[in-house]
Amino acid sequence: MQTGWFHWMVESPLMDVVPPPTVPLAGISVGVIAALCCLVVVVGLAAFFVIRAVRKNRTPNETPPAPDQP
Amino acid sequence: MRNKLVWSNLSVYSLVHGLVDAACAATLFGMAGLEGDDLQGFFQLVLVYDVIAFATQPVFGWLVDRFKSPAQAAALGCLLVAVAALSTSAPMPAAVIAGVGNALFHVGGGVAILNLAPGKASLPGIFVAPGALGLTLGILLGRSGYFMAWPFIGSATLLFAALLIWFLPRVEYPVNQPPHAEMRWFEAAILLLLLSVAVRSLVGQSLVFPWKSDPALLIVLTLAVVMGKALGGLLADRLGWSVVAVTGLALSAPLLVFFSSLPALAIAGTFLFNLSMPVTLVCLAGMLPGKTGFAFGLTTLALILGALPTFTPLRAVAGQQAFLLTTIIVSVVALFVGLKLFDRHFRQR
Repeated sequence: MQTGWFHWMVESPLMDVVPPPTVPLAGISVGVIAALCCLVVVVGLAAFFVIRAVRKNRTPNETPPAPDQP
Repeated sequence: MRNKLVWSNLSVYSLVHGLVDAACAATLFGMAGLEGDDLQGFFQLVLVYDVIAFATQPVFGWLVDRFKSPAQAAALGCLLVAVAALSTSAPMPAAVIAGVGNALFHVGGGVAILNLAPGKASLPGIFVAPGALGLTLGILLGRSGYFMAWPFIGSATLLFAALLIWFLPRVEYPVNQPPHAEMRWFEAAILLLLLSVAVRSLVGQSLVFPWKSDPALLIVLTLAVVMGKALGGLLADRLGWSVVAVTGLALSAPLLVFFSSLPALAIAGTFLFNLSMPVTLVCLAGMLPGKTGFAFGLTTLALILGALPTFTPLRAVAGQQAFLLTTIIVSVVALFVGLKLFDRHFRQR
């Protein structure tokens, strides 16, 4: 079972994310890394704006009291 | 009637969750077998798959909330994972399709289950638990080569799962969020809960259990993750969210950091470590009523943000005892304060 690159599986527990094999990131195409980073940043920013919008929608409107009629 | 709705949805979505995660892992790891010793190529596939599967969920979640269609998203997710299993001759497209399918299923299933009993952690805990088991079994299956030999069996099972989900009794979508008097701590509470999730993910990926090469211990460890997530929700609803989640995480720290070489203690630590998972999930859903899919997606975005450093040489640093202890303490504090803020300002009673 424990052959070649598969040795990483003896390390961390498997919880949610599929664990990477133990190789340096340096060999991966820069384009792929840049695209993935962009995706994470864009989704993170979009999420931030959605949270802000939710906050705005949920904040009750405090309308100033109508001025007294003369 | 209500019971039938709950049990049919919970059992189908939970079982299919394990199946989808297993199929995705088996597809990925089966392709690694096909590629021989091309480590870099396989590393790239895992990275692309993980980022797409986890980072896109806030977007899919937002869409599911907008169109109120969790069942459709989950069924489509199953179909895409089935397509990925049949497309392994083109590894990168297969990894991308599997990632999108996985994301759609998780968001759809997560929303359906969270909406079954809003404000309760039990059901989401049971739903998320089989994922870890699926991941382990999928990796073993993918490595064995059987999944690549008969991918159509996996695909047919997933098609059946998609049909089953399609014909399930539908869960009502909660109404949109009512105005709330106190919104001062809104972003802070969300960020603290997400920080706790991200740090938990970082720690989970950095832990080193040298004894995991023993298949029996690997299965017991996986069951500890499964039971931790499933029982975490049940215990939290009974004993209190803060008590179970914060205490569990705090108690797990010494076991995971100082006794990782002792299987019994490390397994107990892994169980305790996972108790908080359903609580953070249901808390975020409670912060964003009517935006359940988006809330679910935020937790997976936090998961991948936490896990990404372990894909780099930083993994060596993250595995140090002092680092692990510090990060678990940070996670405990973030969770404690986040839950207090939620309890005080946002919990619907």
